[in-house]
Amino acid sequence: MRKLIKDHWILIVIFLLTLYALCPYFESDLIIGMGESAFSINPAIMQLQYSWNDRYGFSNTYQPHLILFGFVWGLLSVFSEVIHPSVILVFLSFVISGASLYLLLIDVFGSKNKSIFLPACLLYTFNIFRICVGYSNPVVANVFMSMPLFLLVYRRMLLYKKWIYVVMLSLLSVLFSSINGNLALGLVNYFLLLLYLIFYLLYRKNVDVKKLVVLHFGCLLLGVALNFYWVAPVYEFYTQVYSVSEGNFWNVIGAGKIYDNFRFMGFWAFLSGYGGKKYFPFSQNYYKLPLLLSSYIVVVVTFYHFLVRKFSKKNRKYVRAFIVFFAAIAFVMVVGAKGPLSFVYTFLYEHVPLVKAYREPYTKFMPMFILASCLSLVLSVEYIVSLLEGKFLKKVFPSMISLLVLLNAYPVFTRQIIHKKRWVQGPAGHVVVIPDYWKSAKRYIEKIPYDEKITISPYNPYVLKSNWEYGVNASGSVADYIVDSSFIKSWISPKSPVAYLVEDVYEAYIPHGFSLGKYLGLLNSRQVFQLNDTEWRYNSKIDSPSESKKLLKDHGFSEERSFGYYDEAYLEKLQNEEEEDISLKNALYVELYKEPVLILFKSKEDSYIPHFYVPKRTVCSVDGDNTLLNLVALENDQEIRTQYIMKPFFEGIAVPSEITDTLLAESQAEYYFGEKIDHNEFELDTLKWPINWDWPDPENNPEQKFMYALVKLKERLLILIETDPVLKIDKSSWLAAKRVSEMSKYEISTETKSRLFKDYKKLITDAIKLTKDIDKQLESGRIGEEEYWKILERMYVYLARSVLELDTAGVKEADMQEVYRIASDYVTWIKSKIENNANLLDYAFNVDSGGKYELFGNLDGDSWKYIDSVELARNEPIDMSKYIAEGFGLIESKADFGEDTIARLVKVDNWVPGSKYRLSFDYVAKNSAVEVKVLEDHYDYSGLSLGESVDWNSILMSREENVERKLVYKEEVLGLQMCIERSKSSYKLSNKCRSRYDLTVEANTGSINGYFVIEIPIEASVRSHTEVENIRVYKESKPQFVLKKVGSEVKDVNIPQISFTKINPTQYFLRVKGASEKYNLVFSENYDPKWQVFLLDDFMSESSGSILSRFLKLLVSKIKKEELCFDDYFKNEIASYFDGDIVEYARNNEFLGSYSFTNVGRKAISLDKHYLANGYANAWEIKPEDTNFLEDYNLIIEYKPQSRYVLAIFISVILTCSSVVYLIGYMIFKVYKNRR
Amino acid sequence: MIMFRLCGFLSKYKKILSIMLLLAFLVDLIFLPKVDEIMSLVLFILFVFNLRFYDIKKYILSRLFVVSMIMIPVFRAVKLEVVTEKLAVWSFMFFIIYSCMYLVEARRV
Repeated sequence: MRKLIKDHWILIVIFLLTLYALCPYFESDLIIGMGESAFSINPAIMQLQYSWNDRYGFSNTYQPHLILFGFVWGLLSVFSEVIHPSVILVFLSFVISGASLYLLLIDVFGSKNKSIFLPACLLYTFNIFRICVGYSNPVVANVFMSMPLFLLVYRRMLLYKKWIYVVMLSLLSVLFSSINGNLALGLVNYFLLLLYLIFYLLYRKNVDVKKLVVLHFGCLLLGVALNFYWVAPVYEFYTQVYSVSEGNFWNVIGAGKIYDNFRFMGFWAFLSGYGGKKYFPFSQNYYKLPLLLSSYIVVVVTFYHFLVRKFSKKNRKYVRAFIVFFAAIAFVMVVGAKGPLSFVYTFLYEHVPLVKAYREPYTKFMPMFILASCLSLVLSVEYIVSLLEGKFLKKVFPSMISLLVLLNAYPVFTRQIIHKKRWVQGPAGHVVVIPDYWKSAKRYIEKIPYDEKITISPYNPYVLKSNWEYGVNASGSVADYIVDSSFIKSWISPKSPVAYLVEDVYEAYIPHGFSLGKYLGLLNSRQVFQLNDTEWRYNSKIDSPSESKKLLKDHGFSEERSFGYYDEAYLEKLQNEEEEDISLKNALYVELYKEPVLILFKSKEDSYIPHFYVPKRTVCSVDGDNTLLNLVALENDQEIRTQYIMKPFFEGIAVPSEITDTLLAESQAEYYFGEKIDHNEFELDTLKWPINWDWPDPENNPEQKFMYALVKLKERLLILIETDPVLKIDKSSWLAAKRVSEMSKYEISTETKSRLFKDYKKLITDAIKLTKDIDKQLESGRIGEEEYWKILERMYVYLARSVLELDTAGVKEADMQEVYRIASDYVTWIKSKIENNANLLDYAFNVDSGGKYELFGNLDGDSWKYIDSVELARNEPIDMSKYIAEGFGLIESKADFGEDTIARLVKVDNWVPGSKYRLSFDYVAKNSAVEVKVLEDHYDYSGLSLGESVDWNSILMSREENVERKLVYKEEVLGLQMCIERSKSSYKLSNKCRSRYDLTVEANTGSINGYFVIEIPIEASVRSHTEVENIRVYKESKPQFVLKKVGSEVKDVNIPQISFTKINPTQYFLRVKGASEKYNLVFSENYDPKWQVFLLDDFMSESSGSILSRFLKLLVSKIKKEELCFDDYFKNEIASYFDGDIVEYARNNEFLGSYSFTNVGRKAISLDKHYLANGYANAWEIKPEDTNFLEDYNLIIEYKPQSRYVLAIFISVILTCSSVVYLIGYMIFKVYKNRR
Repeated sequence: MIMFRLCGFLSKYKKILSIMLLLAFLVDLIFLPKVDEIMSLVLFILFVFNLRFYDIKKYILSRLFVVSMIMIPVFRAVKLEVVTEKLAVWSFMFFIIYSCMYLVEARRV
């Protein structure tokens, strides 16, 4: 033992240092996990044994974590009474990383002088990169642990060409398969091996290529076989993601600084933060001299061997060549699209398919560069030590470098990287302690026997932050991690259509008469879990607890149970470090004081639809703006058992058109939502010039002849070299404006003024000519409609502003006449363009056939109402102006400005957060601007703090008091309406016409009153240059119209009675009785074509099914030692719906059962009649011929890949066990042989 | 091909090229803190050229790299961020060119 410790003291050092860093977290209830690495709070969320996850994300992409979070986690849980497994995992990830590099170094450099390994082992274990990207990230941890081992075994495989290394490499790939949870990082290990192979082929002589090919082929076969359980689903997931996003991913391929990359830093979030707080509060220290020096000294020492011409040791040249090769390639990849070689990475990223996954090159390739640097460091230290004289110096030098390495990773040892308690808006932290009220909620909710989903309220962003005593943030909702139940929420994953439907409740307006209970009922949810501990104050999408409660109560939800309570003591424990906005800080107390923390709300019983149902009605809306929310509002009074057939709004869902056609033909109602025809045009009188827009500010006086000549030369060149007509118009009109600005700014002679005017005229005429020619570009399709109108508008605003400026610039009358003529011509031309357009209120309805339709409208954004009956030909637009009354939405009007009026304040009645309001007035503002402000009243809680403490007595009374008025918008504008009157021979700019000002604002969350203020400068009022009339405020709404075609009457069909029970997330059993006719079956689970229906009729004997299926069934029966028949699964009836039409039985929670493999090799029924119902659910049309004309039968609804997945796990387990046995056998044999 | 011919022509003037590289380095560092394209172009030409003909000894590059690594913390500490990054870009190129030259040489011997 002593010898062992003496030999491998470096491992002891790493162990002790890790122990020191992590010992404060050795408590049973402290969990290390956050953000996207929050699985360690409760890995059960991943449902690793299933290929369909009905708790988090739907469909399962977590299979690669089976070994880590299934097997390894299970082993570590033995110690969970003392230390949480997540802490042990972090501990192991440090120690194993150091140990695996240590093994590699012994293999590469020999074991003669191990002390030179110390700096490299410490650098590999404790480095700033791991701090930046998260030491608790299981994927990164696995990369660090596995990379040296992969290289070690692969190196030996190429060197000795033995099959044992093939087995070892394949076993390593399974052991560290968790890396493949992030495919880009997963491939880094194999990229490393590829680099080594290339290097080997380039630098080794007499390579036995044949043997190499055989070994690699063996590796590939065994590796894939061992990892079979996750390879197929992960491949499928990534191809789907790639096809949905069309390869356009968010990327940071050029982020960071190269000088930081040398010292392993460069993470784009390292220096940034949130809400004024840094993610890494210590990051600034890395830019101060001590750490700058220490970190770069390590870099200099690492690459010191570059200065060495020749090494004394024989094999070092080969090792060094590999290090240089490896480090150079790794560093080019780390740097990404930065610096002079950025084209290399950009080219690879754009053109090599797999490289698309490397959108953050720093985080993906830095582990490779760190490994290369560690190898390089050993080489340099070895060389420097060989130069030093004396034993003492030879020992001290590696220790000195080791100390510098540890200094660079100091936050690990000061525990600044693992905050025990921190504010959720503060630094990114990791320690989680689950509050007791969540444990009570878990106990209660998990006892709910029904197969239903619970909706999370309020809005759930991608990463939810909760005000817990220790703080927590996790992707998804904390409810997912704690409670073993199915939750639906707004942001789940890019694959969940139901998440979009929940999001609509928070994003879209909610029409009057819309029943939230019915809507959630359609999503198989009747309970809403209100999380008052959600941090709502920094995200405008998240409603405050009181707003959420009001919404739920308004929709008839009642409180079923609450958990936890915010009293003074508990509120004071919460981290609430908001410093700048004291009112916002106190809002936490005002909202939560004496309120429950978690509330479970329940909707009315009659609005719920169970997991399976047979719809009585079919409503179709297969085109246009067909949100389920609108359809539910339109069909509010109808039978609840309705299925809504909508256009698949979610990409990647393809439904056979035949089934949609049948459903359309048989539907009870068809809806066609109208779309306003967008003409992309503008109204001349609404054009304005906000005074913060750029207007040329010349720097050279036109009287300075030489300098000005140079300026003109540069301008001419600019226009000359410009080939794009759109940019040419921009430049010409800008330069024309510049001439006007020069005339106004400088005292210049009449001669110069005349010269400038001439230039102006030429430039503006050229620009107008080019603008008129743009028509040709529009016709040829080189520019779109929208861009076309923008060009016309831009030309107009520059022309109008310059004309108004020239009017007061002292230009000769004759010249002004010229200007007026040019402007008048352009205005006439542009008006002809506008008049050519169709009516502004045309709505298009994509109806398939002409006929009679009922027209419904939602004019005020409040409720749908019947408007008219219309006869319509196919695709004919309807002019809606007749249905929208003049002054529609008007809520306030004010008198015109009098001669002495300089300001007017308009208070808007019923100011509702989230609603839009429009201010409109007519004005003249040519020389001085009109100022418009929007003010809002917000509750001001800043007075509730008494010094450091909160004034609890005034909290409860404070809601209606203390209001602060805030400025939320300000704009100063000049009006650009030009009225040029033409008499016989002259033009005149008249003051008759007014510009129209329109401003639409959305009332902010938390605002209680809103005001518009219109002001004009005092001097402008006196001089009568500025006038304001017809002040109006409207409640803005986007009118919506829908055509309804009444279909066939509901037939009095014989609806079968269905009993169902959930076996596991991938399998449901159904007993159907009395199905004498065709019917539709809706299964309220996210649509996936792999959900299939299998018939289990009475004729199915033991010998039916494939041989494989029968063999597997036999195997399961041997394992389970009991065989249940179908009816045994229907033990406890727990609910009955729709007068017994649907009966629900208690869940079974059985992973492997008698029917797990029944459907292997069998054909599903109604395969071509599988369609999307309610915008997210699976539905099938089942005909008597599909069920052999039986009326009573059993069905199995199964997620087809599950049986394959279980089979793949079997195969992987058997092969892995065999490989382990082979490996142990080989090692025993070797030991025995060595002893002999 | 034109590039290689040009390099062949230039290779006759080894010393001048060494001085050119240093000059480009200094000019870029001091006078052109924002003109990346010029530096990139110069470096790229030198990069291709060096790979082909080894006009500049690789040990000069390795020394330049080490010196840059010592200078970077000093520049960064006095908050000359643009110069620091520029120096880092050069170091990066020294690092890559040195590596390429070393690898080609190691294979030949």
